[in-house]
Amino acid sequence: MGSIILQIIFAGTTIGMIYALVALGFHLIYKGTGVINFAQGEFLLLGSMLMWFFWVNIGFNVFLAFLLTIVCSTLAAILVERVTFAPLRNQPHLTLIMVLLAVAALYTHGMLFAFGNNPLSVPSFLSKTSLSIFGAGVHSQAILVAVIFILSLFGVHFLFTRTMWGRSMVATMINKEGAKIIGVNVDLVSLYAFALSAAVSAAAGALIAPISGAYYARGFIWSVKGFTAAIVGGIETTIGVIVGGLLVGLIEMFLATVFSADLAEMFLFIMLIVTLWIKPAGLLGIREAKK
Amino acid sequence: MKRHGILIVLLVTFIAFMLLLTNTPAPTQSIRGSKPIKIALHFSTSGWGRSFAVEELHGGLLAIHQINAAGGIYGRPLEVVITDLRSDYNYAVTVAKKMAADKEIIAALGDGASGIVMAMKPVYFEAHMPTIAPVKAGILTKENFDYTYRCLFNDDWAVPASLKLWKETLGIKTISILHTADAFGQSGGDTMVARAQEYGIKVLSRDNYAVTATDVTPQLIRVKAVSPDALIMWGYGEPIINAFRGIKTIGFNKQILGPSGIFDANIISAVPEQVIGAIIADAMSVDDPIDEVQKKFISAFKAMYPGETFTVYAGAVHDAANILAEALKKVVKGDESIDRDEVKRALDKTDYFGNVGHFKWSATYHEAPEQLMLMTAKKVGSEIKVVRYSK
Repeated sequence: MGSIILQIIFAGTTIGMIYALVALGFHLIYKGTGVINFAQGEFLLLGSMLMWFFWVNIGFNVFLAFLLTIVCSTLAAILVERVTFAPLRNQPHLTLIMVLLAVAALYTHGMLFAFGNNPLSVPSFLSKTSLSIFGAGVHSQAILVAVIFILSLFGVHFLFTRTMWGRSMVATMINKEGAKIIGVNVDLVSLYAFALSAAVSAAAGALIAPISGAYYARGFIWSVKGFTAAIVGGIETTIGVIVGGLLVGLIEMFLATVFSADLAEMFLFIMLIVTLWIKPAGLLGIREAKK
Repeated sequence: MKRHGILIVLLVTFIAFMLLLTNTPAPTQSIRGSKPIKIALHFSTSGWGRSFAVEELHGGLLAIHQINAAGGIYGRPLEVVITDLRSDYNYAVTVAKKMAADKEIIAALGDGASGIVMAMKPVYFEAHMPTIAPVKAGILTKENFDYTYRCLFNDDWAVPASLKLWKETLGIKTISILHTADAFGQSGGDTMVARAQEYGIKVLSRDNYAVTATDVTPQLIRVKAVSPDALIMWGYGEPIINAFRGIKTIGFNKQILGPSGIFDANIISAVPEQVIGAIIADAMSVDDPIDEVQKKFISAFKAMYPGETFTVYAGAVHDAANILAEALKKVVKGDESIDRDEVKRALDKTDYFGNVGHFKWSATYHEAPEQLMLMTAKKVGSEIKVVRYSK
């Protein structure tokens, strides 16, 4: 029984870290633009797809493939931001959300066009595929996900607390006009937010590909789970989205194992609705969510 | 003498008449034609159900190539209309409607996914279009199957037969079942639960997963918790790869059993180490053929598609195309248009020895032969081979 509980904790933490990384992507763009990027799951999936392309299909070294994946995903996000988002930045939020939904569809169909309709399989980065800890198994790839998870967490925390860029992003989120007055280049802040968010998501996508595979149509579900994590934890705080991701992953794994996967999915969305209803800023949110 | 002369004349006349009759071919054979005969070859070569689709398509194309090389159906070549059904139920129905509307198309082969064939079945029933599919779900031939034929065994028979084999050969006493949440998986799971006790096997747990599932870890944790003698993975497709990985990750080290779906080329290439030792029950092993028919097919397939991995599914569709050709030989009259109902009546008289056994169809029996053996994945040199299981 002990090893089963431990197994649920390990599996839940692994999937939770992935949700947290997607949520972190939401958090970065929200901080930089004040907008929810519904193409976040697609950003992550592009990382999985490109990892397959550079490593499995072309045959590059795994480190080179990983780096190229991050670079290409970041460039794609920069292009998207410049072409679709930047020209409309002063439009109402609803317009921006619609544009980002269109970007999500663009990514999905672009990946279908480029990589086809078949699920792609990526092998584990490490030769040993699993580890046993107190009788419970852990996918070796989960260790790498944990490394990126911790690096991203501290990196983003450092960005917002110790750098001018991060402070500019916070200022832009709180009051765009005010930020402009004090000399913040909101145009550049938005660009950085997209680039950074895409880089984190691409790294996460590349690392989870050996666990979950890569299929062009899965971006939406990553977006939904990551969004749930961000809202539950609190999209405005780095620690909030991290806690939200881990919480969603653990609850989902626990309910799916003890009851059923369908019930777990239902519960997550109920949790999302209840959070928006009772505490819209999220469990660790520091203030009321902006309307 | 005169009487003898008359008798001789009569005898000679009779012999001449008999010779004339003997040399006269059957009416259907007398008129040769050249107009192509169109048949639909539709398989889900993309999407979640693609596991065996390419080899199924190629099994059919190989047979058609062989039939056409031998002169077609009395001079008329078989022309195929190939469509990817995309593993999409709605799209498959649209394709079926298109095929049914084209009166020149006289029969269809495929898909390999039970749910897809079930979705197309009403359209073809309405259009009187005979369809032969390598589909195992029992439900396919339960009702309204006048125009639906099966070229791989029915799971309603195969599941109990597999249980019997597993019990007798492997001594399995307790099982957990993990199946796909589609017609194929549901049908296999239902039959296993209903019949396991007859063979002294206890079902400890039963779970399913969506064919598009990204993670089956919760289901595997539940299996590990009940600790069965064997886990039966009654499914196919991408989630099986994740399941094999998950099994290794969570440290479940009991026997893995399943249908041939767990040994498709994509799965073997994605998780080669994990499939070693798993056991399936099926009708043909490409690496270990049981008779000359299989050997001949395997060698022809390898010659036509060098380097391509294939299994019993290719053999079954090869059989299906040959059975259809035999039926067409009974109904084709020169270049006259062919009636689908006539083809159906000819298919109902099928008596054919193929890769998956002896087909014997009638108006009320459209099942594939009941031929089954245990096979396992073994490492031979650097390759994974699927060979007949022996202790």
